[in-house]
Amino acid sequence: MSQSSLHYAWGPYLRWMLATLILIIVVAGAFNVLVDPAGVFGSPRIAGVNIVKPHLDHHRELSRFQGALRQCAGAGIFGNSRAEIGFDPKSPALATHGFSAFNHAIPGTGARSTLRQLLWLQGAGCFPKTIFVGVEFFDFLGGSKPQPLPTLQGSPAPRANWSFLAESVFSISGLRDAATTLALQRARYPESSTEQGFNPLLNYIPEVEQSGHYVLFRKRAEENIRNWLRKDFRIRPHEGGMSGDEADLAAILGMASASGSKTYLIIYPYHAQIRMLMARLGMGQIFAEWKRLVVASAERYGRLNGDVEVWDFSVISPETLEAIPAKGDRQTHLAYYWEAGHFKKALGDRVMERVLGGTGDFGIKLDSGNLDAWLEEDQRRITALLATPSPLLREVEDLLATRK
Amino acid sequence: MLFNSYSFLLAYLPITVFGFFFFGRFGKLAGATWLAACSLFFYAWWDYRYLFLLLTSICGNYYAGGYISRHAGVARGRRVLTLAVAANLLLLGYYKYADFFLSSANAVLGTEWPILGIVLPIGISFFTFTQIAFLADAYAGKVTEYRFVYYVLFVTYFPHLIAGPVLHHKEMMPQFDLAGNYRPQLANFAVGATIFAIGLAKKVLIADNLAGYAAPVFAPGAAVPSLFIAWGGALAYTFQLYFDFSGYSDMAIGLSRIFGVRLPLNFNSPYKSCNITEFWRRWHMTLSRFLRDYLYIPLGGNRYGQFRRQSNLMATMVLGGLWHGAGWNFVIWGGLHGAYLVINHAWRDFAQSIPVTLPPRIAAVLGVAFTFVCVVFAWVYFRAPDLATANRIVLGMTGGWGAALPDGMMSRIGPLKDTLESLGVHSFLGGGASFVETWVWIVVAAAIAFIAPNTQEIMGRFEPALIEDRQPQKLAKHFVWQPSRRHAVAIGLLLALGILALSRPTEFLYFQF
Repeated sequence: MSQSSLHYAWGPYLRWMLATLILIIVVAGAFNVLVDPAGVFGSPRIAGVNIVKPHLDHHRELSRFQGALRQCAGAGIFGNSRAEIGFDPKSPALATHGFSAFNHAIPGTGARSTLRQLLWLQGAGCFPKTIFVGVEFFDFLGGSKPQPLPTLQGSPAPRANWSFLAESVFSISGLRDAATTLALQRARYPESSTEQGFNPLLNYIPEVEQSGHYVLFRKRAEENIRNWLRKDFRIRPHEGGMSGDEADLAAILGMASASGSKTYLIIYPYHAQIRMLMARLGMGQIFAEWKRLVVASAERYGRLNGDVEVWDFSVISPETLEAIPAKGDRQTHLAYYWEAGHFKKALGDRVMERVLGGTGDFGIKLDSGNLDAWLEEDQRRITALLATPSPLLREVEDLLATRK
Repeated sequence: MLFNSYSFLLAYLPITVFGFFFFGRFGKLAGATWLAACSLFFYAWWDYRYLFLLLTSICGNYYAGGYISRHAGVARGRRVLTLAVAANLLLLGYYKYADFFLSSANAVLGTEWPILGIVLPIGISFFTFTQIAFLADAYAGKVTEYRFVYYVLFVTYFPHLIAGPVLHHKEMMPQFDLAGNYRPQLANFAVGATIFAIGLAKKVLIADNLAGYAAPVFAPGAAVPSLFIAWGGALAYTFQLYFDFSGYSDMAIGLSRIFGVRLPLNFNSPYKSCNITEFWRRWHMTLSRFLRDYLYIPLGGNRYGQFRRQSNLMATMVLGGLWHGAGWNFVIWGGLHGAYLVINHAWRDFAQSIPVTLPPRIAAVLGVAFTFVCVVFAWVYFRAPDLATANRIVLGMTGGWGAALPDGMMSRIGPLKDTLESLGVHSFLGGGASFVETWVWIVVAAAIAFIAPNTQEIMGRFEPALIEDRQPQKLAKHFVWQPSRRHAVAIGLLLALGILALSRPTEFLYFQF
């Protein structure tokens, strides 16, 4: 240190630096709690500030659980992003049947996550009387090894602990979420979640306007093919016995039955493009085998105290055959699909309506009595689709031909 | 314990600083003992199982160094020096290279020797090199301080222990022995905290954000990258590494300054270098110094003609590459830099015979650009997880996988689209946002790296770090720091942003070496 430096006012410098540091951290924390992007602190919802909540990609379990506790709804929707985006708890069918519903679905999760969520809800005394579970074939694909089932002690409910405070309150990512929340209030198509946990995916509307549905379908299909081909085409482990997902599904059904809840297992309405790709990649038979497994699980627990229904919407039908707009078409907005794996609320509402007693040909309730005939019919429709030239078939062939 | 973690900033550092000055009141030895004990705790926090290894290495080298210095310059000293250096290299070789050599031998000889699965003790490359330099200095008669506690502190001093800078005994011991350093000085706190804040911001606000754009391109199973994606990934890593490591070095220098100890400068805006020789005088300067003093010069340096000089350069750089990691990627990276240096020397000799010279400013810009491009290509091998990935990216950077822009971007550039398509630039679906973000971050990082003054220049009035005698202290033209209220608020803001970004701390890239 040079001698001249000793003449500076070091004390005031350090005090100002420290004061600025503390002030900014305190103000940032207070701002984040006030805006409460994840809806965890129960901060008041103020018009123009935080009425619309962003759809966050972190702390989803905590955010969902806190929202669920506030609603303590009689009906719960569980599953992955397909359920989160497609099933609106405020759908007319649910409202008509007098259900207050909450969407617990979390993107990228499977049956294990649903099981834990149900455990937490049970622990909090908010176990739903009606349960809609989106079951995902691709989670079962590969035949995961069974893991010990979670318990409330081993897997306690998420809470706003120190780690959460550090990551969401006293953090730049928290500030970013808070700023996003403020911006959302005036956004035309906000990337948001409703109070009931539904993600309307409005932010995809500008995506469609910028790139067109074709790009969304194409990108997702390429990604799907890569992901599917990484897995073994089996639904049970090499060693035999139940897979982890099957065991988790059984535990969900057992828990629901024991609680006297009614459970609807919903096989998602995959777009026909997915079904055709699956068939061409050799997954058709295993998909049928998986449906047998789901029906068998449902009947095993349905015969006990509970009441379990399996609904298959993966069928080839006018709804799932909705035409994909051509490349470069940025005008067309599809009625039912964002892309092949993610359906819109309009189709989700149709699913709910059908499950809750509505009439029509879309989807079928499966049981051991109609399963074989239905699988045959399903196979016949797929075969016919793959044998008839169409833009969709050309697209499927192109996807398979150009996959890297 | 990471410098960029709450446990370090809110617990370890305050306790260590308080204890140091508290015990310092009872004498230098008490203060130094406390600091050494805290440094060992700092090391044990990573993996206590290797504390014994570290202490064994320290004790062995301390006693060997003592013997060597008592026999400095004579045959007995030289024999022990050779033995001690060999022991250090064997230790390093076992932990760092055993599996590499086994797997390489298996590949070449077709053998099936089992891989040992050895876990690399953190910081072993740094504390081994630091002590080899000590042994060499002892033989050269440059070691004058022998108190064991000071020696332990010299090796384990927590600001440098895990990832350098590589220290010289002679530049540290006098500072540990300075009575004034054991009394708290506000000036040291202010200068140290300011440098630390700048380093923290480099790491958590720039480097960590760039990491997300480099990683997908370098992922082993990633799709083949077209021209702009390959360059985007390579440049994102180029700047990530710089801001990560120079940020770490600033933090180390700042932390040490709080204790009144100045560490040697480790970075001096390396990407502004006009040629590769200059680059190595500005990048990881303490390692370059070590390699020069303890490898290149002992190999003969430039004393035995051109051929030996070039061979020595190649050998030094290849071994320097291997020091960074046990893998053929690092050998290639070192080899590339060796080749760059050889070509640079040959070019300088050749250029003197050319009668035409470019205007200095144009020559400088061309030199910086060419040097930078060469460095970026070499970083691909440094970063890639395997040779296949590196080759794939390099091929992408040379246009081997074609050139493409996001469809969303191509559709918005009007008539330019036709021009680009006529040049062979295609479009790809999706990924537009990520593509744009990558290049925005690269432009921001490049602007800071190429245009902004570095920490040393900003803090130059207050001698933030030790610099070699022959290098004059350069001051920034703008942004010259002084302890004013305005700067206090600015640094407080920077520190606050740095701390607010700590929620998910990431390791420094050089911790793996």
